[in-house]
Amino acid sequence: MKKRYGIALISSTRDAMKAEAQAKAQHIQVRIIPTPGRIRANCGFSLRYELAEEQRVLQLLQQLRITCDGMYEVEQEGLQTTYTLRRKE
Amino acid sequence: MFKIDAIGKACPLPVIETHKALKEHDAVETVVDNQIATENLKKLAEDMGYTYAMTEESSTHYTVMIAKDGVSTDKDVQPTKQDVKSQDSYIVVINSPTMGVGDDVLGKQLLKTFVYTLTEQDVLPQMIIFYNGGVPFVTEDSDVLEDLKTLASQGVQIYACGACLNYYDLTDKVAVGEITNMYRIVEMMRQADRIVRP
Repeated sequence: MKKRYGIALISSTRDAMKAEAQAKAQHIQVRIIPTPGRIRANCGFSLRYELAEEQRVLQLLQQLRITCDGMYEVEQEGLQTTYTLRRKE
Repeated sequence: MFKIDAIGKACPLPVIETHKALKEHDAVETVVDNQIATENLKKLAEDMGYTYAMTEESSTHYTVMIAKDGVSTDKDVQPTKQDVKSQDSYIVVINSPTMGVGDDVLGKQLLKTFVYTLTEQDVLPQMIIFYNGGVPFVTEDSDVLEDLKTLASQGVQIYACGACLNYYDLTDKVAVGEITNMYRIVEMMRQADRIVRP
């Protein structure tokens, strides 16, 4: 079964946690996941979100003045995962 | 023969890439630029029960060949090096500034003593993983920095969680070991024969 979702790379751990908490308060479906090593070896957190909510996530990050190091679309089918850059930041 | 060019790649990348390649290929040739990397690769070969051969082309160029051993010709019932090793193979996880729960002053001292005692063990841990409250130990102000450096120089791999270092604003102060992420940490913890947590 194919899974598609978006991830936003957040370089600051605290910012990622702040964003997740705010997103929950605004009922945006978002959760923190470790940044996939294939995209960046920065060993930080990323925000996983539903692609349909990308705009809301972007607005939230702008509202909180949180820097995002890029947004990617993730496609997972079985053990195969592909990452496509949607936005650089 | 699957070839990996690990020249210029910092530890532990040569080992990680070779290990990954060996999952899909029976023989892998890895080129590295330092002797310590060859020793780490030798350990990898031993841990996997594979054969290891190394040629020193120059002081900055080493070719390592690791291959799956075909048929064992040794008919002895003695435990293989791999068996003996895994009986006492373990990793250490340090996730707190103190050892034990109770008095924190005592706890801090206990943890320092624990790390020191590790250096005196007959069998050293394969790796030490630091996260959350443990990450300050890998930074410049750590009380156990020298002990960790000693362990590192003897082949113990030291890892600290990047997200945690970032949270505590200590990323620039790391003085020993590698920064890694949750994926690697989970992988290392689940693949370990035993986890020792003070």
